[in-house]
Amino acid sequence: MRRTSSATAIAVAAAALAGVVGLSIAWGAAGWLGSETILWKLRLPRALVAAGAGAALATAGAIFQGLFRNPLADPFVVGVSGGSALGAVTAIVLGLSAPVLGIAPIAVTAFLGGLGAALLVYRLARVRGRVPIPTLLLAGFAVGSLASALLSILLMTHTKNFGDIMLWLMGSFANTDSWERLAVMLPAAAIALTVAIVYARDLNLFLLGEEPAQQLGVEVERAKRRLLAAGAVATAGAVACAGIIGFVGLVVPNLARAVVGPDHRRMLPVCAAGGAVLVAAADLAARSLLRGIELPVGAITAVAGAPFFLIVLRRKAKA
Amino acid sequence: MKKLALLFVVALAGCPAPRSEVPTRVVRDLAGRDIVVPVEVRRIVSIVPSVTELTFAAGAGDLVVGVTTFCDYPPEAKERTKIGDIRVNYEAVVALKPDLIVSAHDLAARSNEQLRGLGLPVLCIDPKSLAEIGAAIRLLGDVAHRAEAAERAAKEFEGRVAAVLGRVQNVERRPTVYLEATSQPHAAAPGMTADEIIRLAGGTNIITETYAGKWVPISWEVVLARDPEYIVVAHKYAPQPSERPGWKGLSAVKAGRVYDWDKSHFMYPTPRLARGLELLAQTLHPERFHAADK
Repeated sequence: MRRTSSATAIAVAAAALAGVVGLSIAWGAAGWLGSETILWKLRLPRALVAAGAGAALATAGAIFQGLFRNPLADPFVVGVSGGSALGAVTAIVLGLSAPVLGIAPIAVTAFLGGLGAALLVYRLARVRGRVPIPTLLLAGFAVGSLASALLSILLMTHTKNFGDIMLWLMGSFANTDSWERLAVMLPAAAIALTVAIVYARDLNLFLLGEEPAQQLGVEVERAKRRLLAAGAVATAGAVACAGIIGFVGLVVPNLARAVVGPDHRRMLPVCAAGGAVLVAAADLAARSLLRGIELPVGAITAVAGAPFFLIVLRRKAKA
Repeated sequence: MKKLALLFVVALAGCPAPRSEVPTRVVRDLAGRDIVVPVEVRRIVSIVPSVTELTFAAGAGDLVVGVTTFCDYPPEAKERTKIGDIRVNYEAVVALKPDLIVSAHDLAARSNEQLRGLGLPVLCIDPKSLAEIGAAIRLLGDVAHRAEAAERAAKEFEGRVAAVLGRVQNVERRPTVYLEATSQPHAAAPGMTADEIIRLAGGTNIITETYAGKWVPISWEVVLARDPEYIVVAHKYAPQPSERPGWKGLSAVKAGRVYDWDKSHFMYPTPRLARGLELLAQTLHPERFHAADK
């Protein structure tokens, strides 16, 4: 398959992003345009949070796929989603409602839960100052399973909150229409993308394996630590703002690679922009398909993302 | 060996036999389905909270031997043996030796099937409107042979509803109302009893969208665009209306017309809906109610 130049790809993605965000602001349940309150307090921050979450998830996916040398890795492999979900559900079950620094308690506990899980995985996987990738994956799997087991127990013992919990787990931007959440989402996405781009060359060398990377001058353990932290921050931020939105972090890096090639220096910006477009567009669909009614955005990303991903894979296989 | 096995089978088959000796009769439920129930109902298990409440209202509370952990009204219901929450513990139900299960078709379809499979008669009570509440109470009273008490309860409910309707009849203006059951927010939609209450109380529901006959997960934008004059919050979840972006500018919030009322007066099809209707009608049309009546 012929590769598009990264400049063209970024320009196309940026134009698409501007289009989607513009449309998201102009159109909504109240029809075209609407009052100033609707435009600036509901639609604009919501579109930006969705774009930020998409960029963060796609970047985290690219980081983990690079680190683990596995195109099937996604932002949730190191247990972040399980940890975040557990954090959020704890807030729901305890009935916490007082905002922390203007941010809803559920977002705060979800963010901390996600970071806590990632940190736990990292500590569990560390052997004599080194963190072997297979150990990291296994520790991530174990912590993730533990978190989802605890989550099931909470679900079963707190059936009164069942509806709230399920709604949160399905992922939605419906109640994130606030600038406060953007204050969490944008820095998280920006930090992750910056770290990933700074370490893009190292990520390329990781593809050769850890030892060759080390021999080629990569400070393997430090790079791994920082990249993991960046991926965890991005994922926890996205989950804290909108619940669990699957598929984006898995699919978008693969799409970006198919379009501009595997070099992370070129692929990462395209990947982030693509994730932003996909999630912002999915959210627009989630609130537009049934006018006035909010559908879970995670369902939309999966329904729309899966066939698209298969088409690109098949075209790539034929080429 | 073969003989032994045969004996065993016969012994097993013989177990449920006594059931067939219980005299039964056929009653027609609210949806027009014919259900076979025992003539003498002595032990009732309810697996749906609103149906528990209706059964007690019908005067058959003393026959109720098992309820769910969510059955908290009337208070006596809490003293009954628990048979599960939204998931029914079938073993616990069978252990209570009930002769009738009362349930709801829409809320517990799977549990109803399971219980029927265990040979238990399941009577489903799904009142779809205020008018059917009285019918539900009478049906339960008939089945439990408490027709008199049930008739009194049904009449009392219908009397309260009629009293409100008498007062708010032909109101000149029907103020706009927004009623939500969670902060997600899930709003009362056409076809639900909460929507009926708004209409009967002399108001206009701002929500016209429907979502599979359930509470609609409505967009905040819709509420901002339609600017209701009254807001009813039937839940305790954050954020409350005044804390949501842009909601401070709503007419209802500015005028202090946001009401935090118990969800049981609006959400479940029980006689307590009469209280919800009274609250809302008195709030929307205070001029129609004399101070002494409140």
